[in-house]
Amino acid sequence: MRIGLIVAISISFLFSSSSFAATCQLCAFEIPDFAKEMGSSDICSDLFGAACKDVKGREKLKGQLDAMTDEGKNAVDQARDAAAQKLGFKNADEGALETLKKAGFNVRTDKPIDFVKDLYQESDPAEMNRIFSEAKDCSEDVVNLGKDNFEMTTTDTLQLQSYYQKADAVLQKQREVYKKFLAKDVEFFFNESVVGVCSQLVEGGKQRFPKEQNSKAYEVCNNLKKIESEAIQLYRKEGTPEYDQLAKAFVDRYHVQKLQVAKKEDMPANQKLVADIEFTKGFLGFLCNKLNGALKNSSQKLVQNYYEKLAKSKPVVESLIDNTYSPERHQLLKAMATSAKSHLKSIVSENFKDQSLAKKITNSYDNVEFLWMSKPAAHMYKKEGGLDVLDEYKVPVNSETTAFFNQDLDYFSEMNAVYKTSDSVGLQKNPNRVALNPAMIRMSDFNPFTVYFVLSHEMGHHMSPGIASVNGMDTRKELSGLFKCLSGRDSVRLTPKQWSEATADYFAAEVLAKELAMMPQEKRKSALKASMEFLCLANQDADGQLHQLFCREAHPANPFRASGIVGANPRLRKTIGCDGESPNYKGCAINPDNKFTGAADPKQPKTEKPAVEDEGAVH
Amino acid sequence: MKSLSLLLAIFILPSLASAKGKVWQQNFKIEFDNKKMKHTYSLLEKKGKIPTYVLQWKDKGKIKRSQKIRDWQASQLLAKVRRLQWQSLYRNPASMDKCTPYIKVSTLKKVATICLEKKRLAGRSEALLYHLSHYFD
Repeated sequence: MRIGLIVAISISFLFSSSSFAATCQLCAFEIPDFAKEMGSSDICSDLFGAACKDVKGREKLKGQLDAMTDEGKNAVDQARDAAAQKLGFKNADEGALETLKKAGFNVRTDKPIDFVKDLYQESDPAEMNRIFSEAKDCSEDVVNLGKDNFEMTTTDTLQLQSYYQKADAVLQKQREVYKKFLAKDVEFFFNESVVGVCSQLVEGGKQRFPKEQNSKAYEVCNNLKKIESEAIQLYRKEGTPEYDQLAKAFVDRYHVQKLQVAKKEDMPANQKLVADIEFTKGFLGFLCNKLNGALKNSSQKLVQNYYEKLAKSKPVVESLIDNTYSPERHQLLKAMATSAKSHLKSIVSENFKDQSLAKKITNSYDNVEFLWMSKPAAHMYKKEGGLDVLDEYKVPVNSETTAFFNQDLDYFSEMNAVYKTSDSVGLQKNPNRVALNPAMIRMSDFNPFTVYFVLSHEMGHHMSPGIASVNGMDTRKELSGLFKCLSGRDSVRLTPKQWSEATADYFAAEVLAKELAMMPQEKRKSALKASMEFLCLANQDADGQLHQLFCREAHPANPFRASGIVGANPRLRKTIGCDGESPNYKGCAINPDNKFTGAADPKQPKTEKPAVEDEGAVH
Repeated sequence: MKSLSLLLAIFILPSLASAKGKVWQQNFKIEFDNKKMKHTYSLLEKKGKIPTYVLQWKDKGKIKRSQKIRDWQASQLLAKVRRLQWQSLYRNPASMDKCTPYIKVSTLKKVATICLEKKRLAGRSEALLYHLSHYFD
């Protein structure tokens, strides 16, 4: 019985190990030039310096990340232009401009690109003067009123009255303009204007704002809940033919012109007039600011809707998919993903002390998919304003296709990759999966080495403690020695928050050790430098273009990742021919005693030949 | 005046309380919580003659970064957040079979949960999260 069990286990290992066999994926590729150049350091002491810095210590790839993300942005721009042309516009920006003009905005800029960028970002409301005639007129009115040759000390009541009437007429004119733009967005009007006035009223109290002088404000604020309900009903009618008229009436009904402060009763008539003039002039400036805010908000809302429609339109979807997801790239990257998985299975089998866990992990790797975006089926589109657009209820939840619902289409310009755990939404079930963003996919054309490293990193996440636990596996015990080693002052001083990323980097280094071992010895060092390109690029990303939205600080610093985790990896060092440990970082590994000397190891199946041992065989 | 106070309490009291005590008032909070991370972005305001605004990013309840921002930035961000919130609260279908929460958006008195099933809103939320994250670059 006992013998039978041993035989069964051996067979199982035999089968599993043979299924882990990987052919060399990187052997056929040319080393990129930057990786052939000398670096600021020797690769065996400082991989980051060797790969990322030139002999003078300058970043070798400075500015290249921007160029790569710009390529993605250009693809997005071109795709949007194609969609806008379907709508009859010259390009996407001109379409945005025309959309605003049609909605009643007086646009005065002749630079549509600047203009759209300004509108989407938060910007100083004073900037609106450059863009909209309404904003410019208002600020000119403020200046003109100030220019009038007028002495506040005059005792001429008629002159004071005339001036007050003039100022008040200007104020009324601008107030109507302001109301016009408030009516374009009742949600903004209610929250900004109505609630804003009521806040002031409550804060100032009836002593500052007497009821007699502020009857409308008190009436509005006493009915705030009812007005909110009305606003919501109206908001739901947005886009209907009757909306504009209803919204205008709503704003007329509930817009409080200004809160009147209590005046001193014993103030002489002329002094009261002077106070009113001062207040009106001051209030006009305040109103212009408010108008700028309303212009910004309402135009931004329109621009956002317009760009959302373009982003999910068929021309954009198909153009961006065609731009990146070619069958050739798919073939290459799928093979790389399979290769990385295969190496990872071997690594786990060879090094995990708990072999039942190892088996569970290697089996579960079969359920980690490499995600590839394909064109949505025709039934996923619907007609919307002259364009075929993705129907949000027909596109699968959590698929990469949802990236088309972000008006900025960030997914298509960012340099990144992800591991996603399996999830289930309604009837739809998604497996564990690894995806490369389009910019990363395109990078495979000129540096497959670094894409292989990134893919291996993402595949390695399958064993990160948090992700493994979601998949019903506990890797903490197996990895505890690695984390302890990496946390040391002689290593990268890893913090617990960085465990997940360090796990992925570590396994990517182990994968590289196996993959590079299949390459000619003289090519291995430069291939390793080439594989670090992503870390070189991401390191110089001072302005945050690299998307680490949800994982900031979860990654150790890139020099630590390259030199301290990858470059100090004992098995990788041996593969590329570095003698002994790194002088700067301790060599950390799971099962560090497993030296793969070729000596018979009772834990290992005899049929399994570690890749490091295969060095000679490759030549 | 009685009903005024009662009704205004619902909308305005939080801001009044902070005005008196000159403490930070939270104008909006956006919570992103998945299996791996729990991130929160908040817009805080300290009332006063010249109000001060801070955009705060928390990770698992701990403050990671705080960024002082201008009044117009605060106002425009708040408008964007409210737009998303109203869209979620008042333009959703009457019933949804399933909601997989993506982010939770809170303002002074309202909370909206954006579901992944509502892809248009999820897309807007993603754009907003990117936008907020760039304040901390």
